[in-house]
Order: sequence, then C-alpha cells, then structure tokens
Amino acid sequence: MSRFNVKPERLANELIGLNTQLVDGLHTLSQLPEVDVGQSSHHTIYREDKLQLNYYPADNDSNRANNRPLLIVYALINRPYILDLQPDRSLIRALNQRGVPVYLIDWGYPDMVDCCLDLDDYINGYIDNCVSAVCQHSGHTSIDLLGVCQGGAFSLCYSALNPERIGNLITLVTPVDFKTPDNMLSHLAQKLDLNLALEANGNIPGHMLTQTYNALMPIRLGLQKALNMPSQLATTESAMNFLRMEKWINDSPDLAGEACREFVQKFFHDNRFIEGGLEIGEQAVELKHFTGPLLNIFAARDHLVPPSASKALRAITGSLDYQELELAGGHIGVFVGRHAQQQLPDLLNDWLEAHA
Amino acid sequence: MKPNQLDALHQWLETQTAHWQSLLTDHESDSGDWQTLLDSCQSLAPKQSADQAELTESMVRQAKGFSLYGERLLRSLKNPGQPADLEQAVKDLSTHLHLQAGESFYRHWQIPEPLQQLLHQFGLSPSSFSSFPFLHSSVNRSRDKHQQQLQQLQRSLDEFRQAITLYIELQNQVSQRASDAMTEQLRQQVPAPESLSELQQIWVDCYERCYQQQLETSQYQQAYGSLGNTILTLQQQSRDYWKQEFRALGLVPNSDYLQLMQHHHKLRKSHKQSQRHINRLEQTLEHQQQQLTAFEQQLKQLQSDSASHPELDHG
Repeated sequence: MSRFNVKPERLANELIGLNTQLVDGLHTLSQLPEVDVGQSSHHTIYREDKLQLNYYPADNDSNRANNRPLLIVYALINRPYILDLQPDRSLIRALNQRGVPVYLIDWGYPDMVDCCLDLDDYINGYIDNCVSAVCQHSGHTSIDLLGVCQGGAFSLCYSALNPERIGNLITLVTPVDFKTPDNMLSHLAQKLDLNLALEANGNIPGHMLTQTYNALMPIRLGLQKALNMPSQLATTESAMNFLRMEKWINDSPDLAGEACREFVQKFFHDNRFIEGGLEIGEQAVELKHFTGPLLNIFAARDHLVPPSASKALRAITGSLDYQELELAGGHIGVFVGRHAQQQLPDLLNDWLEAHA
Repeated sequence: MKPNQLDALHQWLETQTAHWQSLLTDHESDSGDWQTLLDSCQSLAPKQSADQAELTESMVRQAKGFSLYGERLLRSLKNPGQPADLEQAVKDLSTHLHLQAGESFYRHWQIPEPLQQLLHQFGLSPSSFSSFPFLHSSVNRSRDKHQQQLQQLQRSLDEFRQAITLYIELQNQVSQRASDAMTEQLRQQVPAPESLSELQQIWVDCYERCYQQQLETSQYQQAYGSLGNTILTLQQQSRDYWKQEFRALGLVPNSDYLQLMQHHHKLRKSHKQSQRHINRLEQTLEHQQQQLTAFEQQLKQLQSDSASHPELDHG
C-alpha cells in the first residue's frame, strides 16, 4: 500500500517551481558582483615567508579592564577569513566592537618551497615570532591567545612551552583526544598513508582534505547542496551569503607536507596529548606547564571535532582556572552561524574581562 | 548574461512550464532542452571561480535529474491502472538518487588525467606523449625498466580495482539499507509526504543515518583507506615514471627538487635557530647592560654619599 500522497497536480507545480527557481537563480548569478570576504579594517604588522600577521584595532578599548591584545591562531586547513566572512558574520568585528584588539595569523598558501616546514617551524618559529610581534606592536609583555581547531592544538603546545608569554588561553572546537570512538575524521585519517601522499605530492593537496571532510556527509554536502542551491540564489543577499561560504569551503590551501605528516603521526596516530611524550622540535610539551586561565569551547553538533575530543582537555591541563562550555551548532556554525554572532563574542569578551 | 541568453532562459522556462502542465492532460507538449541551461552556465563561467562554475553546473545537472525523475513519477501517478507499490517506488527513488549522488561520490576517486595518459603510454603507444613531443625521438628507454614499471603499474591497478569494487559494494549496501529504512519510515509516517521534495528529504536523512553506521565500521574505514592509498600509489608511480624521463633528457626531476628543498629547509632552520639564539643573547646582553648601568649608578651614588659623609670613612 502506498504511504505517500503525491498528487499529479501538486507534483507538476513543484517541478514548475523548481524550474522557475533554477532560472531565477541563474539570472541572480549573472548579476552578482565578485564574492568578497574579510572586509573588516585591518593592516599587516608582520610578515615572514608566506605568513602575514594582521591587526584589527578595537573600536573603543578605553573602558576595558583587560587591555591585553588577543592573538588568534587559526588552523592550517582552510583560510582564517572565516572569522571575518562578511560584516554581519564576523567574530573579529564583533570582538572589535566590544573593545578587544585582535591580531590574526594568516598562514598563506604553502607551496613546494614550504614542503619541509614542520611543527617546530610553525609553533616555535612562526607563532613565537608572531607573539613577539604582537607584544612589540601592543607594548605588552604577554598576550591572550585564542586557538581555533588545529590552531587550538598549536596554542596548547605554545602556551605549554611559553607559559610566561600567555595571559589567558581560549581553545575553540579544538581536538585534544584524537581517539574518541565518535571521531570519524580520525578513523578515516588513520587509514590513509600520509607518507605515500608526501612522496606523490610533496605537500598534501587541499582538495584531498576537502574531499575527506565531504566523505563524512557525502549526500548532504553533495547532492543535497546542489539541489537546494536554487533556493539559496533567490536574492542577491542570500546568494552572496551562500557563495561566500562556498568560496571558503573550496579555498583550501595545500598543507606543508612535513608539518601535516608530523601532525597526523603525533596526534591522530599516537594521540600524544593524551598518551604523553609529545615533543615539538626538541622540546617536550607538558600541558601541565600552563597554569593560567583556560576557556575551552566546543560545539554540540561538531562532526569534525566531536565534543568528547575537546572535553578531554579538562583531565590533562595544568590550568588552575579551567572552564569549558558547549555551544549549540556545528564545527563552523558555532562561530559563523547567525545566532553565534552575539553569543560567542559576548561570552569571549566577558570571560576575558573577568580574567584581566 | 547577454539579453538573448536571458530570453533563451525565459523561453526554456515557458516551454518547460507548458510541458509540466501538458503532462496532466492527454495532449503532451515537448519539454525544454536542458542544454539551454548548461549553455548559460558556460556563459557565466568566465566571471566565476572554477569552483563556483563547477557548483553552478552541478546545480543544473542535479535539477535536471530531479526533474526527469519527477517526470517519470508524474507519468506513473497519472496512470490510474498502475497500482502504487511502495517498495518499488522507494527503490526507484533510491536508485535515481544514488545515481545522481554518484557524481559527487566517485569524482574524487577517478584516476587523474595524467595517470590515464600514463596508462595509455604503457599500452606502448608513444604518440600519446603529445604534450611532450620531444620525447618521441629523444628517449631511449631501457626495455627492462619499462617492463618493470609496467608490472608495478599492473599490480597497483589490480589493487585499485579491488579497492574500488569493495568501496562501491559498501556504498550500494548503504543505499539498500537507506531504501529499507525509508520504506519502513513511510509505512509509519503520519501524515504521508505529499511532495517529491519531502520524499527526497526522507531518503537523504535515511541515507545519512545508514552511511553514518557504515562509516563507523572498520571494514568501511579500511576500504576508504585502501582506495585512497592505491590512488596515491598510482600517483607516486606516475612521478617515478616521469623521473626517469626527466633524467634521460638531462632535466631535473621533482624528487631532486624535493631533496634540494630539504637541504634548503635544514639550512634555513639552522639559520633561524642561530638568529633566535643571537636574539636571546642580545636580550641577555641588554639585560646585563641595564644591570651594569644600574650597579654603576648605585656605585656612583654610594661614592657620592661617602664623599658627603667623610666621617663614615673612619668607621
């Protein structure tokens, strides 16, 4: 017996509606300006190789108790402009509006010349130099650090190695335990032979990572997205919103080969934060060494870094003032979603002010 | 978009609308030619990024697939003599969507173009070196080496075939389970779905749920890894092949370039470490200089105090 009640007239109208949306969508596409991202006012204060350190001044910081600058370390995967996607979806702008001066590391696009960069170069080299540049530029001797995803793992390492330089530490959707049973990305990543990828390509191609992410929800991120696209293109505004996000998703730089191999080996395979024995360069990383305030934020519906992977930090941090918060949303939605534009910046600002 | 292209789109929509309406009557009219829409994608492409252009084309292809399936369903619903079989209808929808999804599923598992060329080359067809015409006359390849590479490639291809076969089989299992889950859900769902979009959404939800379960099995994870690794192996063999060719012509192969990068990186790292060490020494020196200056000032102060109190000298 049939248990769907699709009437021919309704189906014909539905198909007419879809075709109309499609034609309208193509028309909208033909009239769109270039897809722009990262519009908040900023200037570059430091450059090294392909890295740029960008400064986003606070709108007004006169009334803040905490005037330490905030350095954001984004992941090497995808581009950091997701934190400043468009004026009304910009964590950076929202922080600036609350008086927080922000510095953001833009890693650039690694190419063959960078294939040998390792985690020591990134953490003890680039990040350390950026911290120095921020201190010099802001006139402070220590800074607050916000790490996002893999950037959070880097920030944990850096703050453990240089606790005197970091006032407050915030980790956002950061993996700590890479072997929780619900971490599907980790399960897939562990089956791929990174050495083969390096021998074949030198660096890890960005599109390979995008494909691995898509493999976690293939229909929703493939067929479903394409079918829903005409409705996203209904107006210029909705089309631009959709295309900005698409631009970011596909703007996936290659990963410096050696750094990626080392990250996968030490974190995905050996789970060094949890198992211990982590070394960056020749320095042992002991998370117990950072005892300052630490705020660990994760997303309830994060399919890339499940909450269990982030929550593991509580057991191994040396912070004497550890706080963790679960927010609604997914891995990216937690800071790009419309509802997140008020909640997350308020939360970060309040916590930073409370830890002046 | 030029005015004539816009007119063509509107014309297509009119034709298509008339077609859908005619399917409800006994006087069926022709459908619009989907090529019109694909042509407009082509005209948009120059001002789009490659990814955006691909997405736009994918949107049109998927809408076409959706419409064609909708047309089949519409025809079957119109036929009063045909009993509605839920399982068959779900199976049809599932097969259709699985095929439609195949585009995004398998796209990244395709053998890359250079490898296809390479395979062709191993079919002993030197004319396929079209992008490197100078190779035709210049390379005197070792027969043994060629044979060895051919065997390696054959092994890798066999592994690739096994891996992709297993992967497709696992995907088909997911599709079958999704169909079963959807049938079950439709039997229980109240009210029954009334649109094709609703039906499709139910299938997508069922599929993602079943896929998630599959993803959690070590068999799937292993199959995913094997497939990725066999493709990487093929890519690596392609590089090896070109390495020989480059060497034979006195050119620098990629692997040599990579070695050079490694040396360069070592030197650069050593230089940066030295620079950091120098910076630390300079900071220490500056700190000590400041301390020294402070001591000197203290000493001067003490001397000055001592001069102004000569009685202290005699204890």
